[in-house]
Amino acid sequence: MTTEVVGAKRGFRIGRWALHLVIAIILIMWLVPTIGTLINSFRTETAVRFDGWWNALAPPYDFTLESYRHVLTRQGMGDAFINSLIITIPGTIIPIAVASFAAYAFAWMKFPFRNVLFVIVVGLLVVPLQMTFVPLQILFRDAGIAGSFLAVWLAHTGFGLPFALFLLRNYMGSLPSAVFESAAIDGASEMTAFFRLALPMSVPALASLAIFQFLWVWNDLLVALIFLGPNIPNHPMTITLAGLVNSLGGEWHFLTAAAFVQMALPVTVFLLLQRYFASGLLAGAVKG
Amino acid sequence: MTEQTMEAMPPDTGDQPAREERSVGTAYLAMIGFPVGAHRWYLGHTTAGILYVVTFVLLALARFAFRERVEADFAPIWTVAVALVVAQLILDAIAIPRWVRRDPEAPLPAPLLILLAVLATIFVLPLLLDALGAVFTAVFGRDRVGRQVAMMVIAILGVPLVLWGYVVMVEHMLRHLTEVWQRRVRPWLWLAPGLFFLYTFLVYPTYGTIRRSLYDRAGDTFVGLENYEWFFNSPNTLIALRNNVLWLVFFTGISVVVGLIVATLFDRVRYENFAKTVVFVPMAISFVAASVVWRFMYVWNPPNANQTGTLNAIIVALGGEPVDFISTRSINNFALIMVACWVWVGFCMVILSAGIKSIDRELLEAARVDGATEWQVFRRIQLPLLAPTIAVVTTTMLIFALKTFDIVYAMTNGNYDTNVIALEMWSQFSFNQYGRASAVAVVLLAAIVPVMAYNIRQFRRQEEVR
Repeated sequence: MTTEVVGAKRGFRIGRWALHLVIAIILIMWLVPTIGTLINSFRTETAVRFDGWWNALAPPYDFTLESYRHVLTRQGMGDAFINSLIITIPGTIIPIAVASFAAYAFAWMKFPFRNVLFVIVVGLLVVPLQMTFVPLQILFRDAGIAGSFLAVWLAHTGFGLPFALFLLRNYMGSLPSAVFESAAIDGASEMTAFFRLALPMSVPALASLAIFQFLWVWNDLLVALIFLGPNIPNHPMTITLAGLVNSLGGEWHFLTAAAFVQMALPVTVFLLLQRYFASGLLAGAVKG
Repeated sequence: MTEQTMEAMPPDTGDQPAREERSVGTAYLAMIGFPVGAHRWYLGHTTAGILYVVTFVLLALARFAFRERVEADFAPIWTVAVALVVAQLILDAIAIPRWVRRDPEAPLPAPLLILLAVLATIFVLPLLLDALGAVFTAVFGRDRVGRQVAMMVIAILGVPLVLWGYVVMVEHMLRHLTEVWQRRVRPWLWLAPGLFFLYTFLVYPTYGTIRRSLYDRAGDTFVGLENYEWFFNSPNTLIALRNNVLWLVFFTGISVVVGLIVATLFDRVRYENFAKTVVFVPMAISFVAASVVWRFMYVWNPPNANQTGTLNAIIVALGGEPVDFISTRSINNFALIMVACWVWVGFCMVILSAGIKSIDRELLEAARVDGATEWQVFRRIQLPLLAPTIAVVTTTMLIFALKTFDIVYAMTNGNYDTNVIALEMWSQFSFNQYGRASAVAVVLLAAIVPVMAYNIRQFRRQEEVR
């Protein structure tokens, strides 16, 4: 009896060590690609070309900021960074602003076809964006805004809206109805209920939505390619970076630094606000 | 609520009783710009004042931002401004009887004053805007970036402001209706901006694409199913189709299984949060950046040369031959899929981990006390209870497998037989082959429809539970 327990405990302990070992291997697998590239981004061109990144970990240490200096001053990359910001900030705020009113209506107003309409929204969540490109490009061309930031903002608003609606409506709908009922009894108008109650109470959902949309727009390549395609001065970082990956020529080693400049902002935002991001994911897991 | 209690109640002003302090200045302000005469009922003067100032600044920014491109063609903004003033006047005309009834003491603006205000608006506003424009030039500079930033500021302040103004206006007008009609009309007016965007940017284009897929390149000749014939007969698209099947099976399979393993393992250690963050972070990295990172993992050099790619260095160190992951046709698709998995396992892990956490711990403890091994606990208790969560994650992954684009575009651009449907759509689009591009998109949609139907069914079930 006692030996059995001890044996079980020893087995358990070996199991624990195996568990820690497996987890350590998983973590290394996830970290190595990024760390290797990060180290490469601080090395000289020849070192990157002829020598693996792991050799930089042994002396003599020969790190340089040359790649970063080149990327940030190079014609195009600095502009691309600003372009990414110009695309992303309105591309985040506009859809949330548009969605919040509609989400409130879906959550707290009664009207015919409400459920049918919302089921359509759920369906639109997964419609591939490819379905919209040709008609929208023609529409933008006719409106004279093809290749402009305005076109991309509008596109991101339309594309981000189903998810924003879905998330906000579910969150607002789960707020306690007693709050809204007593507000109505006290004579609060629908507008007061929205601005003073629904919106402030939905801040967690708004925050996760904002992070979500921010990451999605900042990291987007496809929508930018389609709607900004030929207009090179307006290209965001993702397009510039993708262009560099395929040019195996002279700029190959700058690629590492460029990639880290591109991911610095989203990763910072993500690490600071991970909790909101995860809760957004969980709330909107139906999204595609 | 009856009409009478409505009347007896003080009007819903924002912060202070507004009517007493109406000055010439406010009366003037009320005449220009936005349809915010409504502020007499809804907003305090402070809020209304801020609104006017912001509107002003925005108009000035717009003038500044668009100036160089459409120097002579600045009329639209003025048309809009004048239209808003007219709308304001009409709204006031509607509102005046009510206003009089509510507060008979309040002086009505004299027609002459209104006229003066309108004239002053038309002549003074441009001057003010130009003055502000000069300030913006000083701040942002005259170059392209300056104007783009100005446009961005307009967008991020203007859109929420316009929406707010819209709702204020809607509520303003609704007050003239009976309560029954208010309740009937209000939802639609609140929904209108959202529905407009959904229709214009998703519903209408979907219809347009389906229609366009039946037409030729220029879009004026009906060609029936010719574009689809091309899709299902040309070797390149068939490879894309095959690769998407590979993605569907392996990307979905690997992400979900590894996500589940990782979530289960991490659940059993104390440093769970740290470990989860490590696996989760790639979600914040763009696919393009992930492609760069993995390009360096996959670097291939000839066998006698120094291997600088991490994976090949390991292979050589273990005594193998270096593998060209990118252009070896039997491997490269899986190399790309691995990159996507590296990014998406974090997603699967987070959702599945939440599912694991929602399982009652006592249930697991009870099983362990009864002598169940860890494997049995996982297989017999956790896995069955996780089934719905796994279904959600799987559907999401299926959709991403079908829509995969960025990684293939950045890493191989579809060369070496790695093409996928979404990339083929982009290629056709960039060749201006709009008919074919549309057909490819429709194929993609058709593949997604079953998942969509499943999602809708799941959603309806959830709603019934609510």
